[in-house]
Amino acid sequence: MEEKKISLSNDKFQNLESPFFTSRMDRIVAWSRRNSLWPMTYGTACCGIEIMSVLGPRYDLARFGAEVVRFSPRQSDLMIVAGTITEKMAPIISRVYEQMIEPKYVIAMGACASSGGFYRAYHVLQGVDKVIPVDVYVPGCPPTPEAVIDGVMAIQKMITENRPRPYKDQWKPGAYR
Amino acid sequence: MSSIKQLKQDLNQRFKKEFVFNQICHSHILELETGELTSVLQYLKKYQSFDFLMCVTGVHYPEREKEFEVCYELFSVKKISRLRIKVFVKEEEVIPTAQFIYPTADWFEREIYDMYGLKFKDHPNMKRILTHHQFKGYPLRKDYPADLQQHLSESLEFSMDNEPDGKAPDFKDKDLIPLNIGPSHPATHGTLRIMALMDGEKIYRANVEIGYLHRCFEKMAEVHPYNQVIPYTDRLNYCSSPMNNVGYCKTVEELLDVEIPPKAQAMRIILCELSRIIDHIVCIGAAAFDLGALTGFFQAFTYREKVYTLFEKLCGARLTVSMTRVGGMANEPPKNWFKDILQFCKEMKGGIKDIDTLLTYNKIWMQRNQKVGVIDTEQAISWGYTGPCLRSTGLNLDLRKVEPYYGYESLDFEIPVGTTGDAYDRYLVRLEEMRQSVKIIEQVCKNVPAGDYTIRDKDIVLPEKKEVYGNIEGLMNHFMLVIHGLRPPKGECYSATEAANGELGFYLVSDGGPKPYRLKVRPPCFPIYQSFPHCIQGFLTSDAITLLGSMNIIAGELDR
Amino acid sequence: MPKKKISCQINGHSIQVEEGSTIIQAFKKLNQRICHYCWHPGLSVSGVCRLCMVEIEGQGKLQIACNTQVQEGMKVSNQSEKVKTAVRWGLEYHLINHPLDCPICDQAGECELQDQYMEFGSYDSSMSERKVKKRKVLDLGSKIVLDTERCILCTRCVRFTDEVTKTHELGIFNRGDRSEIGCFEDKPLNNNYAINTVDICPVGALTSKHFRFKQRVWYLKTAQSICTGCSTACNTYVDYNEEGIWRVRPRFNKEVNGHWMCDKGRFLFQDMDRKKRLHMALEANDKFWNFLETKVAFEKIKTLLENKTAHFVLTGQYTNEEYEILLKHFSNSVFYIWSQEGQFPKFDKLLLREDRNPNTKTLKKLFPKIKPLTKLEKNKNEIPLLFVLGPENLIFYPDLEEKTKLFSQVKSLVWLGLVKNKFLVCKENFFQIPMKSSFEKTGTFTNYKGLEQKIDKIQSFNSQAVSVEDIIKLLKTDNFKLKEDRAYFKQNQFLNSNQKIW
Repeated sequence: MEEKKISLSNDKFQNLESPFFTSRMDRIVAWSRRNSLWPMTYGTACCGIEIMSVLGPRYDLARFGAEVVRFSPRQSDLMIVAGTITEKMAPIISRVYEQMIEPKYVIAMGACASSGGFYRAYHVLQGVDKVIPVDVYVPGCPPTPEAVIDGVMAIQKMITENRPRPYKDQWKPGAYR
Repeated sequence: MSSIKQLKQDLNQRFKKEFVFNQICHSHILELETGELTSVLQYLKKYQSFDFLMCVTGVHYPEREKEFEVCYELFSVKKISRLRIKVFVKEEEVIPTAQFIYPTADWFEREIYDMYGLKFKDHPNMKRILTHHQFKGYPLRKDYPADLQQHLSESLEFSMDNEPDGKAPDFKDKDLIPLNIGPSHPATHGTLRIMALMDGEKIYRANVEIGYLHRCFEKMAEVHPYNQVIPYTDRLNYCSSPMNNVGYCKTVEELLDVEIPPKAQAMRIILCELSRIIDHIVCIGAAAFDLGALTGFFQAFTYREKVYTLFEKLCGARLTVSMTRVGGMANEPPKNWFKDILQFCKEMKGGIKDIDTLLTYNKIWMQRNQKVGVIDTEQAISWGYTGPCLRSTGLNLDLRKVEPYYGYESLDFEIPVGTTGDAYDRYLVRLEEMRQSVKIIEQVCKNVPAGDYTIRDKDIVLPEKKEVYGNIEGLMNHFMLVIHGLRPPKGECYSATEAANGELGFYLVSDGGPKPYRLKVRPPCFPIYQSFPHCIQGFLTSDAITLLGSMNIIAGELDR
Repeated sequence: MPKKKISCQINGHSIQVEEGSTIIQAFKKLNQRICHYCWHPGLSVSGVCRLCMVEIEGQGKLQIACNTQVQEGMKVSNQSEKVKTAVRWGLEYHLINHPLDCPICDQAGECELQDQYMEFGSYDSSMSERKVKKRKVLDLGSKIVLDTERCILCTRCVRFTDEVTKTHELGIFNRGDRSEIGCFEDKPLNNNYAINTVDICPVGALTSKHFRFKQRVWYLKTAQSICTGCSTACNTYVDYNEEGIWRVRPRFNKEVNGHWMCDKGRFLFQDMDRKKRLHMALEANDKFWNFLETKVAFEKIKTLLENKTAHFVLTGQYTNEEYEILLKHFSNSVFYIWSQEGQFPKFDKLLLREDRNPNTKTLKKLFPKIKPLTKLEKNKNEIPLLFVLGPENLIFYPDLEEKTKLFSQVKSLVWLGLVKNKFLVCKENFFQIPMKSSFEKTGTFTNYKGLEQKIDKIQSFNSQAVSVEDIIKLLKTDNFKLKEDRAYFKQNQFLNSNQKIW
């Protein structure tokens, strides 16, 4: 980004040599990204019904910009894993996650997606973070819609601050943690 | 009793053999050898009008010589009687399949193979159904640890293995395109996978794969004490969770031979009917959503939120409530709860009218739903349909009228019945059932009996908190119930309630210990979904979506 | 002289009992349930709890079963309403001042108050007064903690110290509802049988420091075993779960140990804790010990053993089957015995014997010409390969260091033991092999009287630990695979086992 001299009435910006416009650009991009998250609700079980409530008229997720619910991974950037992921579903959710385009974020909604929930069983994946990297865990069984909105707001904060996400950096496709 | 005597005499006459009849806990059990199974089943179906095969279960008794037991649960509509048939087998023995007599036994037998490793002779498709195809071992056997996970590397390939001769149709010859309506799809409600061979837009053949939400409910039930299984039952049919709680608690109470107080019975009826309303809301709303009628979905969901508020007032949770306990309810109903429910009923009547106006005489809705998935009563019974799908074909079988429980016999309501059995009729039946449920709730709320909300037996129900913290006897009672457990007597019991989708049955075997020895759920949508590949042949893809919506398949219940 | 038999009827069932036995013994014989606290089959009758009341036909008042002798033709019942009401009132009076300690009491899960309340009580409490407070957590010596509030004054522990150990340490002090158990200031409860009082106490008043707050009883499974501490071989119950062994309690055996066991045998399992044990075989080179697999170690030992006669040092701590198989395959070898004669005090008139090995009798029977260790000292330069079957309970071998130095002087040595022998010199051709403890193998021990008692496998340590039978197979056959035992040692994440709780 080349440096453009912008004259402003505010004194403190006039002495800057570093790319002021680039840093502002980051913030503009982050603002636009967080206020227009396109969720893909990967609803498998009871949390799927609760996601329907979150997107419903009472606890409107559309207020936060996450209105366009796309069921296709190619057209969305936030995957909300709502429900238990079983061993049978694990390769499929991994494949769906790979099809998403960067930047992509994942919310693990509910106890089952976070850590297997109270199913310590032979066919249940003990947390979806065994196959895909997760950014925000929303606990609850099912979490109340207010908690899910809190999770989405946490993602928004993460986008603003551009926080590092270590799991994501170390994740390889097809890996099992 | 007389009917059993008559049955015994008839069987004796026909087969020239004295059969062994037991009676455990109000149910009659007939023990057979594997050789005579098919002939007896055929006789019972044809001449004794046992036309429903509700459920086929396996149980593992490792101490016995013949380790496995396969139980067939039969039901007769004409005589309103149930019969259980048991066959004892060893590990390597092969049992003849009952599929050619009762087509509904297909998937039940596949499940027994998956869970126990018992093979059925002449079964065309003896493959795993609930666990994944790389799973080794048989999970429900007693020597398989509950938390031994096995990972899957690749999902199952597209295959048409449900063909009658085992021969899949050749893809190249007929220009057929394989289409995978996969587990992650907006229009399949939850995690169902349909593998369809398309001839243009029409579905030439279809195959389904289930088990994407197999959460090992039955194994978890064997590892937890009786009251701790209740949250697991919540998550079976998550759209109407109190109904599952009531069904399970009813089974345990039947095994314990206790009767819950009238106030608890009234509360359970109210909860069941409220859940029925919200389940039908999800079904109709989601079916409308798939077909593009979004307004119906959002309009209906406001009423679901109202019911959530009522549930939250009673127990604190919205969706997965664990409201019942063995012996009654968990909590005292809060003040003015019944008044709030009556207020809700008034609003619900308006809501049903709204949905009615939006959808019933809507040209697009009618054209898309009529003549889709037509099925007649005979076929429906042989497939094992129960609930609104069966009632839409013309048969008015409803367990609330036929085997009433908790006081349904004294309430005034009607059973809506359809004519053709297509998706439109199912929609109409569900809508009318919602009206009848509102009627039932109003009747019960106006005459709530006084009394306790739970029985006060010290061996079954936990004492009140002020007793537990107040004196040593209450504390000891609490301790003993939690560590020692609630121990029903040895025995077994099958109990069914009319859930929103059909007959939800629980088969419970107890060995006198604190945890269930075997708990099998008979999910109402399991046999219905079995018939899906057959019903969908020759229809367009969009009709497949409509049919799926009208069947109300809930993956939590289907896969358990 | 056999006693005369009397017949009577208990709850409708007829039974014949010996003359002089009490009604409660007849109940026990028939396996009928009766509520009682102070009666114990191994102690005298005191009749303080007044709960074992029964109704005898022909007598108006209820009598206590523990102190009433059976008469000919007696008809006894404890199922009538009169008895049930009386028992309920009795239980309620016992529980008037009982503290609400169940969540922190060790006895929860095996507490007689809890069990008998649920079975015989089941009443609603009507106590609304304040409870009497007494002293809690008193030190009764180095092994036992007393909680006087929980005590129901059944006096079982007092009778135990009076009659069984005859040391008279405990007594009842004060009167009325202020009574409590205690011991005198200069005589703490420190004898070798003190923890038996913890076993017989029906409530959580007496708790042992080594088990206090460690584990909840309902997470434990029970298995039967034999104590390997001395040649009496008391029968025991071992309480264990996936994390390991937690506790050892005595099992009733009329001929061997009666109802009791000594304290030394209760602590033996702590030295076999998995953290202390050898996980893999060790091989010495000049400077330090290297880990290697047992199978690989034995291949090397096999090459050392070729065409040579091995010498064996045996201790009396192995099972009959192990000695037999050793004798069968190595009949030409030379055997030495490592015993501890004269090291320990003589028989203490109760249970603990001088010979602290469980199986010396079989050893002496099977190896009549076994040589003492002085012969080893003379021959030590001619021994090509020495196998030392090390002792399992090292605390009973105080000369371990001295003898290990002796053994280190041979050319090549194989030490078979549970823990790493730190006195063993690090020399070429020296091996240390991990062995299975007595909780992990099946076998038979012969006690001092000649009684053969069986032990069964309770848990498995890992696949590298071997028993003598495995060793013989490894040496004699080719390609013998050690059984892959899935050792299931889970770490309890909520309990730090290094944490000092008391």
